[in-house]
Amino acid sequence: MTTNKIEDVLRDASVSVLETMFFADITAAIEGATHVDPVTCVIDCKGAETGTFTVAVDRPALHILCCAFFGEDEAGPASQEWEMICELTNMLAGSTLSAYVPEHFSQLSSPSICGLDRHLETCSNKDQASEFALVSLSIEGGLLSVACTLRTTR
Amino acid sequence: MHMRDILIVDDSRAMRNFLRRALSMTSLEIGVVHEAENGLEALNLLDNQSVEVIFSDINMPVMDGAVFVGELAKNEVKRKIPVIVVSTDSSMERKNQMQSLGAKGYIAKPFSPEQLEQEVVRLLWEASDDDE
Repeated sequence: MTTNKIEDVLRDASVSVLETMFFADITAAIEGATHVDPVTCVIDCKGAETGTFTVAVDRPALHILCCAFFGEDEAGPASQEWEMICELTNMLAGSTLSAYVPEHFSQLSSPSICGLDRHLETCSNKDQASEFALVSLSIEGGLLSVACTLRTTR
Repeated sequence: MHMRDILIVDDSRAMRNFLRRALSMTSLEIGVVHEAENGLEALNLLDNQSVEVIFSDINMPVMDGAVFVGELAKNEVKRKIPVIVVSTDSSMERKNQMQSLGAKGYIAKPFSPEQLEQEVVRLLWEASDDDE
């Protein structure tokens, strides 16, 4: 547990989603670990909490998650992997918000693929947000990191 | 063996595939699995197809899950089909909203095949009680 509630919630949600829906084995990322050839996705939220979630996954790890999610021995085309990371991002954001603000719902935008710079931007905007969290996890194939910046409107 | 036909309503193809797969991992006797990308497509499908359970997302284009469940409740036949909402949103506000519109069950993502099965069994058990 940390003293940052949103970080704890984000970490718990991330682990729960990855283990339950993607059957992933997860460990804490080594300090200082950096992404290698990541695919990145962004989703915005508004309502009880307004802000942004970005998820970055190293491409080999994304490939493995995709196979696990679809129950196939080999992942399909890249479009299927993009579809899956969008769904993953949607689930991470939704699960985190539901746990963080259980009384009220926040509306999520449609997730979209973006560049790593967008993920780094989310991290660098932390000083402008009420709440910020960054969780980095090591999964088979590489690194997965989730960043969120939130501004309470309730 | 009573095979149960199912309708999955979700704009995410990935999620429809996952639900289909999760259902196959349960002990439920699943018959035909119909799919729709939004509430309107689902309503049109139900004009010609009979199903025993509907799984519905909330956030969908064209017609979202809240409007879809509300439209089902207006039809004498369709309102009898139990709807299980499947959503990342597990806030009390949303659950209460969907329940007030007529949804009978709610599964929050992430979920396991076991949780899926438990909810379906509960709903079908309650539905058989209502019929007696």
